[in-house]
Amino acid sequence: MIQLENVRKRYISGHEALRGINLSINREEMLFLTGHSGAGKSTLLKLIALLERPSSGKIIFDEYDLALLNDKHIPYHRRRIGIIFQNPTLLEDQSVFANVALPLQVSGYPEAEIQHRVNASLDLVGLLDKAKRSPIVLSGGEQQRVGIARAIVSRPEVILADEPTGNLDPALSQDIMNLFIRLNQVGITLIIATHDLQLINRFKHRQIELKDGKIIPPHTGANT
Amino acid sequence: MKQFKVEKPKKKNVANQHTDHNAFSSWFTMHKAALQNATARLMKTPIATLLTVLVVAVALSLPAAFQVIIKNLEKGQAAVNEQSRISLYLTKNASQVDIDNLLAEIKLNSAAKQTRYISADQGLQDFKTQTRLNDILDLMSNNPLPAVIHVIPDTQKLNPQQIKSFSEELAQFALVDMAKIDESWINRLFSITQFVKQVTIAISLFLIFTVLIVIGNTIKLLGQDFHDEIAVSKLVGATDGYVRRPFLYSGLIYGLLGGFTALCLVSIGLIWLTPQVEQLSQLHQTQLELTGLGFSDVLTVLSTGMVLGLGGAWVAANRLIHSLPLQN
Repeated sequence: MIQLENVRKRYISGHEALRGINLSINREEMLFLTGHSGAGKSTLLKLIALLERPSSGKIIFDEYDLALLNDKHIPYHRRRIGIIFQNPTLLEDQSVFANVALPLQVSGYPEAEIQHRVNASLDLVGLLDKAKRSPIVLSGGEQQRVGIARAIVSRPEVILADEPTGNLDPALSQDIMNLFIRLNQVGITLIIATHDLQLINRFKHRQIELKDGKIIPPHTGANT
Repeated sequence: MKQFKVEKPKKKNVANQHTDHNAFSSWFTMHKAALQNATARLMKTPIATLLTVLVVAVALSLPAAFQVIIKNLEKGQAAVNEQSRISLYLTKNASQVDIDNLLAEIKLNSAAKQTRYISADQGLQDFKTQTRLNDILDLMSNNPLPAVIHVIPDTQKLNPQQIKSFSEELAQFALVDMAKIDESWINRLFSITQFVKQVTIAISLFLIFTVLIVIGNTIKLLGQDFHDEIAVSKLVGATDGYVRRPFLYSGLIYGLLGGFTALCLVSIGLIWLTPQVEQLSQLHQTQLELTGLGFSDVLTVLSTGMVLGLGGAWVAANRLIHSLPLQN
């Protein structure tokens, strides 16, 4: 589904966030990206979503070389991806429903379909009864679930999650992870960046550890 | 969390922007949403909106008012022009045959609407009845007045300058001693109109920039409140066009409301002036009447407002979109 070939990212400041990443992510895989903050996890996700461009190297997304997509294609590329951040970046002056509806609205879906899909999405994350509320009155865990509902409402093929459980207590984090696993079971490819090893070690999905912009070769089964 | 039911994602082509729904209804839905979004944004800042509309209105009402002035000047000019008359003073020894030939020739010219011949004798008679110089004139042994042909030019076809050259053309005839137009007023009005026209163009150009800047600046300020919304929209796949659209509608609304208010201002000015003009009309015993804004003027003001609103919004929205960190 996604191939990275010798991908490097150097920022204008001179900081080298990624230093030659080679990685292949299969369709319908659920992959954990681990490593300390600053190891390059977020940068890697940003490059896949074309929030940033690599300095060199090649990223193939579903047989497309992302370097060949120009700025006009970027929105259509992003519609195939659901992005989840540690901070769910919700619009506080709009209802939960409106927040989740946004990806469908920008793609020009008819209102009936938006209604149907948003409700389904909110139902999935267990927030259907709070659709009309403002995100401000929701708890941190609920806000994160609104963010997830927004990321899945357009039925993306890939979900990129950057520290999705960073602000949540263990129980809520477990809930979110369970949700991700269910999404993966219906065929969505997930890449989840996290440093919560305790949480992800309960799952037997592939883990890739980054350090100083490079992938650390896996030591047999064990973790730090 | 409830029963899990997510449909499998469909495989979509990146280069293919069409989703599985009807393109037209999608276009309509998006424009409707953008318009609603734009009005909601304007309602959120009612005072800023009102002020912008007023500034645009004042800026547009000046050229519109000048347009009304020009129209009335041109009407006055036409009225004066209507009265313009070329007098051809004929040489003393002109024979009646030559004069008839000349009259026939002038009548053939399409520039002449009407001609009237006044012989030297008749001229003397007229002069006697109009003045009371009978006794003095009787003392003269021969008639000092020349025969005259009055030519009324076709003012529908000719402007003052063309009337002048027509008169010069008539002066070329051997029989014509001198050609004279009653032209001072025509020329004065004509040059005033030309001057007002030029001033209007200069003012209009200047005010076009003002309107562009005012609307652009308002949109820019408006956009600052929507940084988050724009950033999130782009994150979930909004095109630049989608982000720009509500701002364009806002600009359009500013321009339209500004144009409409400008028309109201000019109309109020006209209503205020009408009694004065009527009074003036009675004093001069003439038929003066103010011409107001015509249908085409209304269209021009409204469409100018809308085009300028769109233009200012376009520039501001593009700058906003490209200033965002999420843009690559």
